[in-house]
Amino acid sequence: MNHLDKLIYTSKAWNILSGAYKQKKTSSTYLLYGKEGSGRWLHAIAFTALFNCEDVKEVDSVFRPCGSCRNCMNIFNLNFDALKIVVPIPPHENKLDKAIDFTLEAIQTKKAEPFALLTSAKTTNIPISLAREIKKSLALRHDKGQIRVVLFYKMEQMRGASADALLKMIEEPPEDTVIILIADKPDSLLPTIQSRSQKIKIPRLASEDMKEYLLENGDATEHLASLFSKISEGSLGQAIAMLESHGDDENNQRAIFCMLFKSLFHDSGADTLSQMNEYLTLRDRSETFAMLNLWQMLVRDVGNFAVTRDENEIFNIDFSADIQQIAGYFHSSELALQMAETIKITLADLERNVHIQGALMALGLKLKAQISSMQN
Amino acid sequence: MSYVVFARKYRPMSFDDVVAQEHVTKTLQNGIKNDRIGQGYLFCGPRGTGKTTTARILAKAINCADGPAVNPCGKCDACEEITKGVSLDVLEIDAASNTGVDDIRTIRENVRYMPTSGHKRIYIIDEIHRLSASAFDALLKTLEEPPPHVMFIFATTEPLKVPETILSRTQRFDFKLVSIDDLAKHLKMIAGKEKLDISESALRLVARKANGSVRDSLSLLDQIAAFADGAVSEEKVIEALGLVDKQLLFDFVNAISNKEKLTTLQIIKTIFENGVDSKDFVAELMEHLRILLVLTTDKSASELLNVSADDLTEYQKQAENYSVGDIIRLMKIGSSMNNDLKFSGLDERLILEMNAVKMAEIESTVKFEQVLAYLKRNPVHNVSTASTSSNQAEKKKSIINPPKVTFVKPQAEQAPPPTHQHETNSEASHKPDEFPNRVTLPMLQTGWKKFLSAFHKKRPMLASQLGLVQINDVTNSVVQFTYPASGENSKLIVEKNDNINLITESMSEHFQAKLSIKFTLDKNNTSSQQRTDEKENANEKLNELVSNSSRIKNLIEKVEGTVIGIKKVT
Amino acid sequence: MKFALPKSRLFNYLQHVLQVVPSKSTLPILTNILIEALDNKIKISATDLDISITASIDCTVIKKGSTSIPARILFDIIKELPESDISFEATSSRVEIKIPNGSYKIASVAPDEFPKLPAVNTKKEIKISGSDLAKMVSKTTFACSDDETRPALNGVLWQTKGDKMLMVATDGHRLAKMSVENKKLKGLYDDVIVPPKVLNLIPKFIGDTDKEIGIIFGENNIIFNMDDIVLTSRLIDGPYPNFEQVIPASSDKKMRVSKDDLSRAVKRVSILSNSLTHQVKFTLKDASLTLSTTNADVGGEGKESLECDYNGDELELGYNAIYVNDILNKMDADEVIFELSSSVAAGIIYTPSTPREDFLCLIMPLRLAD
Repeated sequence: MNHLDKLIYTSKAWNILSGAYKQKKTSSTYLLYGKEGSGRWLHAIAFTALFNCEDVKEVDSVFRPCGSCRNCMNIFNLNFDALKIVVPIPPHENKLDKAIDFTLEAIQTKKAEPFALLTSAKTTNIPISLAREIKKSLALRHDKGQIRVVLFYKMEQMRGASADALLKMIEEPPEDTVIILIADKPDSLLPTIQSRSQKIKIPRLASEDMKEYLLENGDATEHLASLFSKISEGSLGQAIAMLESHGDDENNQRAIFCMLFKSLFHDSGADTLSQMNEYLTLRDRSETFAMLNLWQMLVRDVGNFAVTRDENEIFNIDFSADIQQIAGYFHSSELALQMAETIKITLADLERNVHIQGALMALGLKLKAQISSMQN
Repeated sequence: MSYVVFARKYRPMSFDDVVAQEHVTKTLQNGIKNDRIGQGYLFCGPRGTGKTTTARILAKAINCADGPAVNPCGKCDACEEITKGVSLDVLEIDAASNTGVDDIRTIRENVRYMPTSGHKRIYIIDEIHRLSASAFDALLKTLEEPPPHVMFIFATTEPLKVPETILSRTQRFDFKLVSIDDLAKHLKMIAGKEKLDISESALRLVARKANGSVRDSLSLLDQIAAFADGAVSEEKVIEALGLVDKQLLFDFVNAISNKEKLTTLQIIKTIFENGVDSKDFVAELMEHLRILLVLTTDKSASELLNVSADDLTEYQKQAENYSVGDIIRLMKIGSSMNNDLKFSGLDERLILEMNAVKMAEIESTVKFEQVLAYLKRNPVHNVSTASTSSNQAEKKKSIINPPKVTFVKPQAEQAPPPTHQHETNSEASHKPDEFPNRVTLPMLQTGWKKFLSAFHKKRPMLASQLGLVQINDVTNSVVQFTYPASGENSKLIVEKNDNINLITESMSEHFQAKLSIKFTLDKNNTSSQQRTDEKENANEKLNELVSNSSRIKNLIEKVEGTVIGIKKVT
Repeated sequence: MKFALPKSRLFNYLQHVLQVVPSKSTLPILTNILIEALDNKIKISATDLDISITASIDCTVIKKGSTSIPARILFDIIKELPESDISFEATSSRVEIKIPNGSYKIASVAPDEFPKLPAVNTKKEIKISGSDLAKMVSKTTFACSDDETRPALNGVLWQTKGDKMLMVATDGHRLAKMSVENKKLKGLYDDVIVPPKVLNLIPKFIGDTDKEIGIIFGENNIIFNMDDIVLTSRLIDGPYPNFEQVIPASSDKKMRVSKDDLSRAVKRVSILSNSLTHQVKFTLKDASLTLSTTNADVGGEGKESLECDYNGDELELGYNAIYVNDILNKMDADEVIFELSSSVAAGIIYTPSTPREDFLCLIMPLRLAD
């Protein structure tokens, strides 16, 4: 529970939630948004606990749940009768039974690691059967003094008719019921839903806090903890995922992606392309996305360093030296912007299922051309 | 704990309570008064403008115990049950969860049941556009010949997705976004009832953030009421809603105009650390720029703006640093940022940081009188070297930015030509002492190509038109240009007011002499001279190309040869 | 915690309790039961959050305490055991079930993880006859709506006024209302809307016995106290529409007809009715009731006439055959009375033996196609 003090109860978002509790002016719908893994989930859980805690504490005029009463224990263990958790369900799991299994699995993941990212299919939904069940149970009265919370996780992923049906419920939730929506950004929700909710941004976590968490909750080395807490950009969940999947492969992949990036600056176009051919499988979409994501962050680092000359501003600290060297090419924002634009186009192309190899070739050549035009 | 959110607590109960949709409510009331009640209504409009609310009021008006009533009583069983959503005769269906044909078929069969006690069975179908095509077809059959005891009220945020066949069978009413003034008025009324001590400027900020939606504005007011303990100021609103602090925007814009790239990045860093929403920052920046734009266009236009007197002075100060063109360029970057944040897969930080740097890199258009004033104080011959020396602190204070004269870049073509510039320009040409040199014909002829290529960088199109002239004469600083007969169109172009001013200005600057120019047309000259010039030009380009080509260099090295001539192979 | 009791006694109650246990839930603890050992009795409880049940079973308690174990596993083990005494002993993480020739161990969780069950305050309890309750339930719940957009209609309205108790259910197309007298009732209780699910469980628990049931109307819960078994259900949020306004005042146009004859005729004629509306046309004229239907889809039509007692004007009405038969099934009499006023107004059905205000059903007509 130690991490709650640092990562949740001192946040700006918590200050707002605590204020609503203090004034007894709790809205019926909250939208907590921000990067996945930055603590949106824990804010929601702690908020649920705050309502139902038997011994609320006040620290520096900010309220927080005690964390040790029966209700708090059950809430933080995600075993509380007045807390209903809804996660996006892949369309093939649409039977009520399957949907419950899927939800349980997600709850287990979150119970073990509250910052964990939930992998989910691209198109997901809530089965109509589950939606009906939730709707029905909400129509029932519940005990005074208890606040019922329905938590929708990854709201942006919930599409389709039954998700909409559930959303309709958000319009006028029953008394003493709070709907908490968790999404990446408000825009990904229907305007009618946005307009009904109090939008609270959950800020990205500070890398120092993340590093501390990684060191305390796991066996990360100092080096990896600092690296991942920097490059995951405020998402502890992402840092944990990186740490978990971190093996030789992962490390190698990063190194290869970075090498290819450097190659854009140092080698001829033909050389870069042949290296891409050699090192990339060129079939794996996720590999390509991973590379583009690293590249754009490298562009960001290089562009930033070119201006600030501040090593601490570099996220990809494992390539710090390379970044500082490449920064020499970046006399103005022009190159970084052009490269970002090119990466953006490629990302969009990949979303449209274009041929990966073709897209990458175009990408390599375009970036190359942009870089050489700057050199002259 | 049972706190009722404002949007529900203050949901309008009569037509008169509906905020700023009189064009709809009055028409509906007139219809009831004149006994012209339709069987199908379609309420269109953005979220939170009162569609469902009005639908319920209309249902009450029809089914009220002493209805149909222009003003439903709100107290009879029928009215109360509609308010609470338990009326047996008013069915609220949400099309989003009943998209299928079967759902509509059920409705179609259900419409045949008689109302239990009300006058009509009323179906309020929300989000009607979500129905599937076949569901629309099924519905159409009922709409064509609705039983007399049935009435449909459809609501949608997207009327474009409603098929024509449905549109033509319903009376359509369009709900408008509510103006900031109307929203602020409404909020003030509610704040008064809630005994919420909130300042006028804070209310207006909330109204602005609601983007025309009553419900949004009330949700925001809820959030503020829950956060603020005591009086609510604008600052408190910013804090409660996690908005962008105005000071941050002033600092950011200052950093841009001072070309402090580093500062802009530091501000972006603060934004991320404080958890400010990136899109919100960009939106607020755009609003800030919009204010500057208005002030740049017309200083006295402040009543158009939603800003306090204190802030206005600050804005005006900043506005002095900019021309309209500059701000439009900045806004262009802002809007591309906004687009990228919304739609691209790019990292937010990358987008914000790089564009912030780009904004700080923009060369500002400097007003001509400022250049003149500067030159008066610092009489130098070479303008372009004059800027770099001034130190940062001085820059901050000085109104003028580096007097490196740059004119509107060709990218900013859509920007209206910066008018000040040209007005002052003609004035300047009457002051003989501004530039030290007097220009002679040989000077002009030797420097002409250089000037043209420099000018080409600023305005390539115009420069190529200008390239067709012959210099005839220079007398008393008036340069006479002649166009060949074929250049009539070019002459018309360069003689356009803006263009001729620009050319004059550029030439004056380039030759460091006060000049004015005149164009004539030589009807006899078919510009043979011109053509040879062009040929020479082309050859020169070719030469340049060849000497720069690494491939040809390699080839020459390999064969150990020399270049004796270059010929274009056709 | 340690106690012992005969298998059959435990199994009997487990069967009851298990009816409430969900087979699967996003809150896994709900598939557990809570076992509490008190003085000379144990309590076993289960809940699906909407309905909770607690059975109190007399037994020898050796050591007091409580625990929670998976309900289904316990049930399956007990079910297959031969009749004998079974003893239960709990450690911190497991429960050991000892039988004469062996033992089973089941992992348990702390009782604190089990949801809190609503407290039972017997002071506010009122007693009603179990058979009256069962009757009211069986005659009304069928008319509940299953449309979740108006949750109040998903339940049964239970009103207590003076010495009368009343239950009403409606889905907007039909309505059933029954009231009983109970001299023990005094004063006024708030109206409650009760989910039919819990009401339908009552007859199963009390069987044919006419024992008294204690009812506690809570603000959010209703509690049925059947001595050894306490059943609790959350109430549905109101308000309930004003049903009285829907029931028309007494009318002169009455039709009296044999229930069975009508029911069978309706069933036959409706075979050819529209598959969604099940519309059957009732034509009343000169002591004769004609049922007819036409079906454009299959190109058929049907017609039957019945003798009836009617002397009003000629009247044509459209009814949903299913609704008519649902209602007729609830009428315990040879003849039924239809009270009608016009082809577009609600019809009232009741029996000559029971006064109209004690039990009636209402049916809305369908608009006949012109």
